[in-house]
Amino acid sequence: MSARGLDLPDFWSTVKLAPKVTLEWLFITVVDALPRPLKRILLARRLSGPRLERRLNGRAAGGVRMFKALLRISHVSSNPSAQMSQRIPRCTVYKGGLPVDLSNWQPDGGSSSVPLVLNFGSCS
Amino acid sequence: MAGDYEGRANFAVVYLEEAHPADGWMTSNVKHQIVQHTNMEQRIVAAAVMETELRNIFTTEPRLAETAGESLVPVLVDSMENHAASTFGALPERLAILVDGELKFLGGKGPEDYSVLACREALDQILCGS
Repeated sequence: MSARGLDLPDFWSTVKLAPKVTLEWLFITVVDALPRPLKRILLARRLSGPRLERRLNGRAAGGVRMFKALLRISHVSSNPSAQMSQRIPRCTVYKGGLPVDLSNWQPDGGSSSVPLVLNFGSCS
Repeated sequence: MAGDYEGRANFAVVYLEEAHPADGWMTSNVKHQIVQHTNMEQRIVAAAVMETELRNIFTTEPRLAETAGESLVPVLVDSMENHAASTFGALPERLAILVDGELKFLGGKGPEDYSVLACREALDQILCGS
Protein backbone atom coordinates (compact mmCIF):
# COMPACT_ATOMS: atom_id res chain seq x y z
CA MET A 1 0.00 0.00 0.00
CA SER A 2 1.03 3.58 -0.45
CA ALA A 3 1.86 6.08 2.29
CA ARG A 4 -1.27 8.14 1.79
CA GLY A 5 -2.51 8.18 5.38
CA LEU A 6 -5.19 5.48 5.29
CA ASP A 7 -3.19 2.34 4.75
CA LEU A 8 -4.15 -1.04 6.10
CA PRO A 9 -4.37 -1.06 9.90
CA ASP A 10 -1.53 -2.33 12.03
CA PHE A 11 -1.32 -5.93 13.22
CA TRP A 12 -3.35 -5.59 16.42
CA SER A 13 -6.05 -3.48 14.82
CA THR A 14 -6.27 -6.10 12.08
CA VAL A 15 -6.66 -8.86 14.67
CA LYS A 16 -9.39 -6.86 16.41
CA LEU A 17 -11.30 -6.11 13.20
CA ALA A 18 -10.75 -9.47 11.49
CA PRO A 19 -13.82 -11.34 12.87
CA LYS A 20 -16.26 -8.60 11.86
CA VAL A 21 -14.61 -8.12 8.46
CA THR A 22 -14.53 -11.87 7.83
CA LEU A 23 -18.27 -12.11 8.52
CA GLU A 24 -18.94 -9.22 6.18
CA TRP A 25 -16.72 -10.79 3.52
CA LEU A 26 -18.58 -14.09 3.87
CA PHE A 27 -21.95 -12.37 3.74
CA ILE A 28 -21.15 -10.53 0.50
CA THR A 29 -19.60 -13.62 -1.08
CA VAL A 30 -22.50 -15.91 -0.14
CA VAL A 31 -25.21 -13.42 -1.11
CA ASP A 32 -23.70 -13.05 -4.58
CA ALA A 33 -24.04 -16.80 -5.13
CA LEU A 34 -27.70 -17.02 -4.07
CA PRO A 35 -30.76 -17.00 -6.34
CA ARG A 36 -32.22 -13.52 -6.81
CA PRO A 37 -35.36 -13.93 -4.62
CA LEU A 38 -33.30 -15.12 -1.68
CA LYS A 39 -30.71 -12.46 -2.35
CA ARG A 40 -33.46 -9.83 -2.21
CA ILE A 41 -34.73 -11.06 1.15
CA LEU A 42 -31.27 -10.92 2.71
CA LEU A 43 -30.27 -7.58 1.20
CA ALA A 44 -33.60 -5.90 1.97
CA ARG A 45 -32.57 -5.90 5.62
CA ARG A 46 -29.66 -3.63 4.74
CA LEU A 47 -30.62 -1.70 1.62
CA SER A 48 -33.71 -0.22 0.04
CA GLY A 49 -34.89 1.56 -3.10
CA PRO A 50 -32.46 2.13 -5.97
CA ARG A 51 -29.52 0.98 -3.82
CA LEU A 52 -31.14 -2.41 -3.32
CA GLU A 53 -31.95 -2.76 -7.03
CA ARG A 54 -28.41 -1.79 -8.02
CA ARG A 55 -26.97 -4.33 -5.63
CA LEU A 56 -29.36 -7.03 -6.85
CA ASN A 57 -28.35 -6.42 -10.45
CA GLY A 58 -24.64 -6.53 -9.75
CA ARG A 59 -21.95 -8.66 -8.21
CA ALA A 60 -19.87 -7.34 -5.34
CA ALA A 61 -17.75 -10.28 -4.21
CA GLY A 62 -14.09 -9.68 -4.86
CA GLY A 63 -11.89 -12.19 -3.02
CA VAL A 64 -8.73 -10.94 -1.35
CA ARG A 65 -9.06 -7.41 -2.71
CA MET A 66 -12.49 -7.16 -1.14
CA PHE A 67 -11.19 -8.42 2.19
CA LYS A 68 -8.39 -5.84 2.20
CA ALA A 69 -10.79 -3.05 1.23
CA LEU A 70 -13.30 -4.06 3.91
CA LEU A 71 -10.54 -4.17 6.51
CA ARG A 72 -9.34 -0.72 5.59
CA ILE A 73 -12.84 0.77 5.41
CA SER A 74 -13.73 -0.77 8.76
CA HIS A 75 -10.55 0.61 10.31
CA VAL A 76 -11.16 4.14 9.04
CA SER A 77 -14.89 4.20 9.76
CA SER A 78 -14.57 2.95 13.30
CA ASN A 79 -12.09 5.62 14.36
CA PRO A 80 -13.40 9.07 13.41
CA SER A 81 -11.46 11.81 15.17
CA ALA A 82 -14.44 14.18 15.06
CA GLN A 83 -16.56 13.99 18.21
CA MET A 84 -20.21 14.91 18.56
CA SER A 85 -20.90 18.45 19.88
CA GLN A 86 -17.23 19.31 19.65
CA ARG A 87 -15.36 21.44 17.16
CA ILE A 88 -13.85 19.18 14.54
CA PRO A 89 -10.08 19.11 14.26
CA ARG A 90 -8.43 20.97 11.41
CA CYS A 91 -9.43 19.11 8.27
CA THR A 92 -7.86 20.01 4.95
CA VAL A 93 -9.90 19.57 1.79
CA TYR A 94 -9.58 21.24 -1.59
CA LYS A 95 -11.90 23.63 -3.37
CA GLY A 96 -10.96 24.66 -6.87
CA GLY A 97 -7.50 23.18 -6.32
CA LEU A 98 -6.85 25.31 -3.22
CA PRO A 99 -6.69 23.96 0.34
CA VAL A 100 -9.41 25.00 2.77
CA ASP A 101 -10.06 24.04 6.39
CA LEU A 102 -13.42 22.30 6.61
CA SER A 103 -13.81 23.31 10.26
CA ASN A 104 -14.41 26.94 9.28
CA TRP A 105 -15.47 26.68 5.66
CA GLN A 106 -18.82 27.73 4.22
CA PRO A 107 -19.83 28.03 0.55
CA ASP A 108 -19.17 31.59 -0.65
CA GLY A 109 -17.68 32.46 2.74
CA GLY A 110 -21.12 32.64 4.39
CA SER A 111 -21.92 32.62 8.11
CA SER A 112 -20.61 29.60 9.98
CA SER A 113 -23.73 29.55 12.15
CA VAL A 114 -25.67 28.22 9.16
CA PRO A 115 -25.73 24.41 9.27
CA LEU A 116 -23.40 22.83 6.75
CA VAL A 117 -24.53 19.41 5.51
CA LEU A 118 -21.66 17.32 4.21
CA ASN A 119 -22.17 14.35 1.93
CA PHE A 120 -19.04 12.21 1.74
CA GLY A 121 -18.57 9.75 -1.07
CA SER A 122 -17.00 8.85 -4.38
CA CYS A 123 -18.11 7.99 -7.90
CA SER A 124 -18.21 4.28 -7.07
CA MET B 1 -32.72 17.96 0.03
CA ALA B 2 -30.48 20.89 -0.90
CA GLY B 3 -33.41 22.46 -2.73
CA ASP B 4 -35.75 21.96 0.23
CA TYR B 5 -33.42 23.73 2.66
CA GLU B 6 -32.09 26.46 0.40
CA GLY B 7 -31.36 29.60 2.40
CA ARG B 8 -31.54 27.77 5.74
CA ALA B 9 -28.64 25.32 5.37
CA ASN B 10 -25.63 24.94 3.15
CA PHE B 11 -24.65 21.73 1.42
CA ALA B 12 -21.41 20.34 0.06
CA VAL B 13 -20.22 17.06 -1.35
CA VAL B 14 -16.81 15.89 -0.19
CA TYR B 15 -15.23 13.66 -2.79
CA LEU B 16 -13.20 10.88 -1.14
CA GLU B 17 -10.95 8.20 -2.55
CA GLU B 18 -12.81 5.66 -4.71
CA ALA B 19 -14.65 2.94 -2.79
CA HIS B 20 -14.45 0.57 -5.75
CA PRO B 21 -11.49 1.61 -7.86
CA ALA B 22 -10.87 -0.12 -11.17
CA ASP B 23 -7.56 -1.40 -9.83
CA GLY B 24 -8.97 -2.62 -6.51
CA TRP B 25 -12.22 -4.08 -5.21
CA MET B 26 -14.24 -3.53 -8.35
CA THR B 27 -17.93 -4.36 -8.38
CA SER B 28 -19.94 -5.08 -11.50
CA ASN B 29 -22.43 -2.23 -11.16
CA VAL B 30 -19.99 0.67 -10.96
CA LYS B 31 -20.88 3.36 -13.49
CA HIS B 32 -17.47 5.02 -13.70
CA GLN B 33 -14.32 2.94 -13.79
CA ILE B 34 -11.76 5.09 -12.00
CA VAL B 35 -8.33 3.90 -10.94
CA GLN B 36 -7.39 4.83 -7.36
CA HIS B 37 -5.78 8.26 -7.39
CA THR B 38 -2.10 8.45 -6.64
CA ASN B 39 -1.80 12.23 -6.71
CA MET B 40 -3.98 15.29 -6.17
CA GLU B 41 -4.31 16.06 -9.88
CA GLN B 42 -5.85 12.64 -10.52
CA ARG B 43 -8.20 13.08 -7.57
CA ILE B 44 -9.36 16.48 -8.81
CA VAL B 45 -10.00 15.06 -12.28
CA ALA B 46 -12.04 12.20 -10.75
CA ALA B 47 -13.98 14.68 -8.59
CA ALA B 48 -14.91 16.53 -11.78
CA VAL B 49 -16.74 13.35 -12.87
CA MET B 50 -18.82 13.56 -9.71
CA GLU B 51 -19.43 17.26 -10.29
CA THR B 52 -20.73 16.46 -13.78
CA GLU B 53 -23.06 13.81 -12.33
CA LEU B 54 -24.39 16.35 -9.83
CA ARG B 55 -24.93 18.90 -12.56
CA ASN B 56 -26.90 16.30 -14.54
CA ILE B 57 -29.14 15.68 -11.53
CA PHE B 58 -29.79 19.39 -11.14
CA THR B 59 -30.57 19.96 -14.79
CA THR B 60 -32.97 17.00 -14.97
CA GLU B 61 -34.75 18.03 -11.77
CA PRO B 62 -36.94 21.04 -12.70
CA ARG B 63 -37.39 22.16 -9.10
CA LEU B 64 -33.61 22.43 -8.67
CA ALA B 65 -32.95 23.91 -12.08
CA GLU B 66 -35.28 26.76 -11.16
CA THR B 67 -33.23 27.60 -8.09
CA ALA B 68 -29.51 28.02 -7.90
CA GLY B 69 -28.79 24.83 -9.86
CA GLU B 70 -25.28 23.48 -9.67
CA SER B 71 -24.08 26.15 -7.25
CA LEU B 72 -26.36 24.66 -4.57
CA VAL B 73 -23.92 21.89 -3.82
CA PRO B 74 -20.23 22.60 -4.34
CA VAL B 75 -17.82 19.68 -4.52
CA LEU B 76 -14.85 19.66 -2.17
CA VAL B 77 -12.01 17.19 -2.64
CA ASP B 78 -10.40 15.26 0.18
CA SER B 79 -6.65 15.63 0.58
CA MET B 80 -4.30 12.84 -0.49
CA GLU B 81 -3.73 12.27 3.24
CA ASN B 82 -7.49 11.57 3.38
CA HIS B 83 -8.07 14.08 6.18
CA ALA B 84 -11.85 14.18 5.67
CA ALA B 85 -12.23 10.40 5.47
CA SER B 86 -10.29 9.86 8.68
CA THR B 87 -11.78 12.82 10.59
CA PHE B 88 -15.36 11.69 9.93
CA GLY B 89 -14.77 7.95 9.47
CA ALA B 90 -16.44 8.64 6.17
CA LEU B 91 -15.38 5.74 3.95
CA PRO B 92 -17.12 4.74 1.76
CA GLU B 93 -19.96 7.24 2.30
CA ARG B 94 -21.48 9.14 5.16
CA LEU B 95 -23.47 12.25 6.03
CA ALA B 96 -22.55 14.87 8.62
CA ILE B 97 -23.76 18.26 9.77
CA LEU B 98 -21.50 21.01 11.13
CA VAL B 99 -22.58 24.21 12.85
CA ASP B 100 -19.87 26.74 13.72
CA GLY B 101 -17.34 23.99 13.05
CA GLU B 102 -18.97 21.73 15.64
CA LEU B 103 -20.14 18.28 14.70
CA LYS B 104 -23.91 18.20 15.28
CA PHE B 105 -24.75 15.04 13.37
CA LEU B 106 -22.76 12.08 12.11
CA GLY B 107 -24.82 9.68 10.05
CA GLY B 108 -24.41 5.94 9.85
CA LYS B 109 -21.75 4.30 7.76
CA GLY B 110 -22.73 3.63 4.18
CA PRO B 111 -23.99 1.89 2.29
CA GLU B 112 -26.20 0.10 4.82
CA ASP B 113 -26.67 2.84 7.39
CA TYR B 114 -26.49 5.84 5.08
CA SER B 115 -29.79 7.60 5.70
CA VAL B 116 -30.93 10.86 4.13
CA LEU B 117 -34.04 10.65 6.29
CA ALA B 118 -31.98 10.59 9.50
CA CYS B 119 -29.99 13.57 8.21
CA ARG B 120 -33.19 15.48 7.44
CA GLU B 121 -34.53 14.81 10.93
CA ALA B 122 -31.28 15.98 12.50
CA LEU B 123 -31.23 19.11 10.35
CA ASP B 124 -34.84 19.91 11.25
CA GLN B 125 -33.97 19.61 14.93
CA ILE B 126 -30.94 21.85 14.53
CA LEU B 127 -32.95 24.46 12.66
CA CYS B 128 -35.76 24.35 15.26
CA GLY B 129 -33.27 24.82 18.07
CA SER B 130 -31.47 27.76 16.52
